[in-house]
Amino acid sequence: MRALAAGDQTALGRLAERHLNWALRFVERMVGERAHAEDLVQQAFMRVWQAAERWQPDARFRTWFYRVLHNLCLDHFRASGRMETEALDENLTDGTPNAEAHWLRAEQQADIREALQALAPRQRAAVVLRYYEELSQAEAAALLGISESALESLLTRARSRLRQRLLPTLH
Amino acid sequence: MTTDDSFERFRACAQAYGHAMHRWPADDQALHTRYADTAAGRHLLREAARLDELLDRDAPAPARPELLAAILRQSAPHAMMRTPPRHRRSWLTAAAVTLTLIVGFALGWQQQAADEPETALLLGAIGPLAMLP
Repeated sequence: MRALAAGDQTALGRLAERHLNWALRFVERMVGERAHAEDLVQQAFMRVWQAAERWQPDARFRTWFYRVLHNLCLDHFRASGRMETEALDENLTDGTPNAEAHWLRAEQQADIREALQALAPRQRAAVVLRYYEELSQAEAAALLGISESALESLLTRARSRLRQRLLPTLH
Repeated sequence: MTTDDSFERFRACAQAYGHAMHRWPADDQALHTRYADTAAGRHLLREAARLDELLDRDAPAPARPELLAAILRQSAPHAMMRTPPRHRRSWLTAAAVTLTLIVGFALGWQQQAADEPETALLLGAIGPLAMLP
């Protein structure tokens, strides 16, 4: 971050290489769509670049960056009003076993994304942060600005809804 | 905590955090060990594992190389406009003040040399400094 604060663009490249995949994964699960996720992650790295001069070395980058990404997702929710779900590419079914397996995986993934998007944003954030990103209870609660017991309630409700929606489709 | 209370806590954790013990809050992980091999505990964990297994099928693809390139491209114009950071600004200020003093001193001495020829000899040595902008 010191090199970044000094205006070293290669430092931004190194930072993005290290953090891009998890950031994109997090945002994609939050917004449900790759193209929007890419836009938001780009914006997030611009914020890192612009804020690098004011960076406090005592802050943990990953924790701070989760907050930046989460806030951008919330802005996106407010602006769009609703979540789009990933469309399935029907052309994947060309009849070969690999293509069928690929299509089946894509279909399952779309079901899961759709179920995640059907959750309230805070429930979705709770699942993504705690289940997928494996943040600790304290970290996830702090990021969402809620107590640990409130986070547990969000998770219980979210998993209950996911169960209702997804388990009948289990292949 | 009574046995009933602790089993209820076990149930709440299985429903909130799923099958895998490492996802449970540290304080509750002992309950996972305690009830995982009981019939009721196995049933709850099996139910949680079914949902976990489905959630695990969602595996976003890694970022495209084009995204990294776009991030760097987007930051490039800002890099050119960027002001140096504070610690570098203070060095630049110190260097500018020092240079101004040297040039001022040299110019003053040059003025004096017009009246005293012996000083003009010394000016030969610092002449290039006096030429600095």
